Amino acid sequence: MADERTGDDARRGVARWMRWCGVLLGRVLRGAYAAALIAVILWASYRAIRYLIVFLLLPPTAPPQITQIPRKLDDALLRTPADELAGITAAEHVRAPMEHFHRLDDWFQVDRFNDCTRSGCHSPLPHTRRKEVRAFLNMHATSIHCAVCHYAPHDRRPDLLWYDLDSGEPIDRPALLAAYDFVTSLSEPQTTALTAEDQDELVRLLRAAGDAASSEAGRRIAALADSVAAPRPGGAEMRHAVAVARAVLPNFFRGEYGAKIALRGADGRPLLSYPNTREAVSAYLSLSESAGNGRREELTRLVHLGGELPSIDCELCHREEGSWIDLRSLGYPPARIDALHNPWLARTIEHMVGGQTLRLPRFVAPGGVDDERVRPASQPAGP
Amino acid sequence: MDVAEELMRSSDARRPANESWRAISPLGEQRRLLVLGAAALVLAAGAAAGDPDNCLYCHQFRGLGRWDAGEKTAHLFYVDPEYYTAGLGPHSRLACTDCHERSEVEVIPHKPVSPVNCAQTCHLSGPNEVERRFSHQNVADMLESSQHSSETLTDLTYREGALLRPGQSRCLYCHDEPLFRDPTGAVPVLDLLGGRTYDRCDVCHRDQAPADIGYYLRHMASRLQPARPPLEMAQVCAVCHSDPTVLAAHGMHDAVASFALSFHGKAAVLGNDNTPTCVSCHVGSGENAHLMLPPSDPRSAVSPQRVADSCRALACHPGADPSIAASAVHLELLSEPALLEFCVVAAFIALTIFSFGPSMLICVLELFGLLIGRKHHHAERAERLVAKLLDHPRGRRRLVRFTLSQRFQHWILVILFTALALTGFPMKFADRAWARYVIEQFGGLDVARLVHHWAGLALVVGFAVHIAYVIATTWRRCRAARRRGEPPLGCVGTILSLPMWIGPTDARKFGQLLMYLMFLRRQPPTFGRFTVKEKFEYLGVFWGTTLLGITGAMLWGEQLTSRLLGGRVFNIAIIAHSFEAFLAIIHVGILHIVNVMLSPNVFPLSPATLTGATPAVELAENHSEFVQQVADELGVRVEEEDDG
Repeated sequence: MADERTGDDARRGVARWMRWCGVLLGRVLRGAYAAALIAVILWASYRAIRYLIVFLLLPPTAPPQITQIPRKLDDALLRTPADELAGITAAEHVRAPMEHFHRLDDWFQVDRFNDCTRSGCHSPLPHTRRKEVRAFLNMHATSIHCAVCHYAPHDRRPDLLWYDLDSGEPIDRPALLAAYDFVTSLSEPQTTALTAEDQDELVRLLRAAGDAASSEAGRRIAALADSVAAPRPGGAEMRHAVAVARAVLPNFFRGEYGAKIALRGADGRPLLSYPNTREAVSAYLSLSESAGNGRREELTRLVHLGGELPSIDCELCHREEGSWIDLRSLGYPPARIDALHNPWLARTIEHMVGGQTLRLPRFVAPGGVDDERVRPASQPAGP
Repeated sequence: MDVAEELMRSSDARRPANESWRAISPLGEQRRLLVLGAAALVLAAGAAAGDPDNCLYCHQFRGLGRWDAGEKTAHLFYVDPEYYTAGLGPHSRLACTDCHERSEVEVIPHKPVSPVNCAQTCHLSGPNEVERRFSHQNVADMLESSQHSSETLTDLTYREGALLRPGQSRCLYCHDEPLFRDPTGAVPVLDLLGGRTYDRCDVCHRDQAPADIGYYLRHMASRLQPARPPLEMAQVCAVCHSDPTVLAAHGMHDAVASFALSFHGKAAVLGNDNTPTCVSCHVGSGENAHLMLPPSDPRSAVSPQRVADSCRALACHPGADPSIAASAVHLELLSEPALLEFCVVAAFIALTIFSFGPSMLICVLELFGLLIGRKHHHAERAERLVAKLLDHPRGRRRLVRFTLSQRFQHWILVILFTALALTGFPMKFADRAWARYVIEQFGGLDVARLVHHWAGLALVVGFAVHIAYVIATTWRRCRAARRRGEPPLGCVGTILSLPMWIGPTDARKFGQLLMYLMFLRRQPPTFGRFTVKEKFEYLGVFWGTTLLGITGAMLWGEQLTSRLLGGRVFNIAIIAHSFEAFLAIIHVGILHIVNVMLSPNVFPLSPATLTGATPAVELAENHSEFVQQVADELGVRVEEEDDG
């Protein structure tokens, strides 16, 4: 009996204690909620009153949508993503920087994950020495991380992967390449027999490619996706839409992947900075003007893991047989690989590297001026 | 290769022999795709002269460029090939060597290139490969006699230093590669036609349609509207007219900043294409933008002699009084001529601070009371009384504070206020990123303004209905009082007896409430059916609707207003309208929402304006006089022992 009573008391005690805890928790939550409301009201009121006072007492300034356009083509601009310039995103047509006549709205492609350029050591256009090829080498920076050419040993094929320029995360391959692979792998009968699932997959790839590309190119690829999405699978319109996609997609290979090729690090992730060089980089950047060349060279060696970086020949990659980079493993479709391995391209490069002059519009066509491989401004190989 | 080109190729290859040429026209093939909805591609049919020098073989690559450490500038050599292959602008008909010296660029690597002279003669490729000579020399001549002569534009120094390299054409300050604007803005039917744009053209012009007709259609349709939308025009002018270094050197004010504060400027920032730009006012009708003159020149469209007519241009405010020119597009509050406007703004800011401030203080202190769990004697007793009343057969109905009609009016007000806030607030804060987003959800500023105008009109009508309702209910109350034999109150007395009227008692109770919340008094004051906060909010709606209605109507009918009241009244009206709206929005958005939705006592929404039933806690804490009054009428009371 006594035990029973003791048990009842204990249960009642626990119930009371739990009730008390519940009440206490309710009060705490209610109090926290009230405190949060107070904070929000005070913050919003402060912002409102501050706006009024500033409006009255300070001269107005033009809004960023008007002033924040690229004016001077300097290093800061090269490192500024387009979506951080309100004036670019607001306007129908983006103005080019004053000194540059041709439109650049699609040019801005800032790599937030490339430590070589974001550290402040190198410009996003790092190749400056050889006039013959420096611009072409810089062009590769839109698709290839510096370390691919300047860190990996050239005597064996490097282990490469793609990384996303928005997140820095590894990806299988750019949607643009996957879409191109899709449309170029289809034969005519296959195109005719395209199923709704195939169509959905192609549309998905095209939309993903549009999202990854810059604004104008993105819009064009999105329009392409719309044109593929609209017709019935298997119909004549569908065949035409696929044919158009096959023809038009290569126009966007010019740095519109939204991704870059990088070396695969020991952890399986993209190698975006030289390992264990952060301190040396900081030390180099903090060097004063008067610092001696010796110290500068010493730090340069440390940053670059042992001194002079290996230079690379264009033909190491741009050749039909034994290209240093395995484009197939990177997900390049055969048609694209053929374009990049085109011997005519390699010969042109060889000619230039040799210091010989090329002449427009025929360059050095091996078969003379009628060589059909001298294509008029359509789509030569590019990374 | 663009879409059209590829289509033509593919269709050529598959063309059946027995089809008529009309049926198998490349454009017919093209159309089939374009009908699929890729309207953007409609006008991308190949049109360009191409690239006879094959420069795009290299220059089509993004990232083709180099960094010049000496000049600390980048040299980018990328040229969008689409510009030429799809004929996106008038320069797509030029060869690169029309502008760039052939001898310098025909070899690779190129020799150092000279700056381009925009006034040199070039060759436009026309239909049938006929080339025509063309030059911008006439424009260069015009500029020399304008405010923007070479004397003015030489050696301009900017905040970031020089923007052009030595010898570069000064045209680059305002111009870059010209693009055709989307023609569907000026010719909406192109959008509706979709892929059928060339249906009739290609009957006769089979070969020319894509190249020539497409190009000229695009060119002409594009020129039916200004070459740049208003925002881009402002960007162009802002390069100099908003640069502090240039402004200081030339003794100018930031004309772009003040423009951006005007209605026209805000519309431009919000992406409206129909709003006037700098050129609309500073260049007279039929005149040339390259002949722009300073306001001090009597020939200028904005000189005192001509500015009124510029405002009254047929496309702008043709029926307005000439005094409309006194409404400042470039209002600068801190300048002496704007002293009146400065004082009006200051007055509204003072009104905002002295009306919003105390309300905000009370709201915060009440929440603080909840935070620390503060209770008072009145509330505990009133809670018991409310509980008893709710058990009474007629008690629940008698405790309803808002009648069905009042609740209906409130929700109409909620809907109209929300519509007005959503369409008006983005105008006040046009430079914020969210403002453009909100306006775009309405389908653009034109639609948003339409919604704003009609919602405003509906609010004024609703306000008039409410006044009629108040008069009717007051009349009924007076008649009931007369029947009961009570002495008549008279006109003033009737108004003073209105339930929402704020009298000296309310002022006293407001002070008591503030003292209680600040721990300077032990008990809070008691309130009847409406608290002093609610009365104050009602007064705010009353005053705000009146002011916003009057000023809104003035701005809406700007031509009539200018004839009746003169042009400067617009400055005052805009200030009054926008600052009163701001006060209303912060009061409702910050305080009213907390009081009726977010406060822990009523979260997530007080049912008072839905069912009319105020929560018991709310009744006990804030309406104890009303509770007591209902209890007295129903004969309900709290026993002494309960009161203990």
